[in-house]
Amino acid sequence: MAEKSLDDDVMAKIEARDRATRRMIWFLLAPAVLLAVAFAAAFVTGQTALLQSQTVQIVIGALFAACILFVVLRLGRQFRPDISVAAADPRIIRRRIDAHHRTLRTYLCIGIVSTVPSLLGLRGAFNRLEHVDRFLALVVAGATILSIAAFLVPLIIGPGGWLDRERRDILNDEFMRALRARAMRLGYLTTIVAVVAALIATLWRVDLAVPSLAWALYAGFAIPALYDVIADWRASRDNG
Amino acid sequence: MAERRLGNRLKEFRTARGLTQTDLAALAGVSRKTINTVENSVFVPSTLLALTLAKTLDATVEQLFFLIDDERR
Repeated sequence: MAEKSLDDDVMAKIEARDRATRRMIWFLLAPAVLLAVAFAAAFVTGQTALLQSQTVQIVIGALFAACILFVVLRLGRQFRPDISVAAADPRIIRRRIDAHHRTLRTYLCIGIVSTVPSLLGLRGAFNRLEHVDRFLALVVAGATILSIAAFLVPLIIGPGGWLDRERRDILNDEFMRALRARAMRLGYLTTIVAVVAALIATLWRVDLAVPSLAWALYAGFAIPALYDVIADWRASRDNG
Repeated sequence: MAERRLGNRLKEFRTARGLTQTDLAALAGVSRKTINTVENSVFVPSTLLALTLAKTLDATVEQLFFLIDDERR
């Protein structure tokens, strides 16, 4: 009876963590998507000067800061619930592994989306090589840091105690290794094709060298990452 | 030309023992996704995993897995 109660308690915490993760996606993705849309609209309409307005920069910066602060202060605790080590029942461990995979998928999506503003900023910055705009450079740096954090955070915090050898082995069982190998093979092929395309673009117009190389490397990361996310989600679907 | 693929009765044996995919995954020491993809013939398990699953379900590998000959034109 006590074990059942403990299981229910752990499951409730895992579900709360899932809900917190979903809320976190919205709060982290929304400003990144808004910024990407704003950049795309500014480049298409030729109104890039608007993005250099100090007021706009302050508003965007405040929006990002508020979202990140909210996630850290409000959702941080729920995101990493204090689950007792006594809850080491294999069923619970598998549930937590599934929850961990869901979180990794989320972070992968955040990484893919948050890199887009970085690339748009890069393009904008290199169009003004003579006086690289400070704001664009900050966007590049900020989005890159966010992307790196998006991948490092789940690896570092995990759902608590996931860094020991035994649990790492469970997370990396043979199916996961096979899936990762397929994604990496796709990434290799994509990168080769995209770098060749970047080379051709550079031969055509030298000023496209850096942006096209950045996009080629992005394709080499984003396409296999998307493949991995979709394949992982399909494998997670419960058909049994 | 015949192409061989791997069929399995994993779900049949698992349900006969009243186990969920999560339970079997826990007993075999793999993730539920592995069990799910093996059952659906999406993923071909290694010999080690096939033997582990057979041992876990108290069956032989031949009972769990079999070859299917697909005729290709």
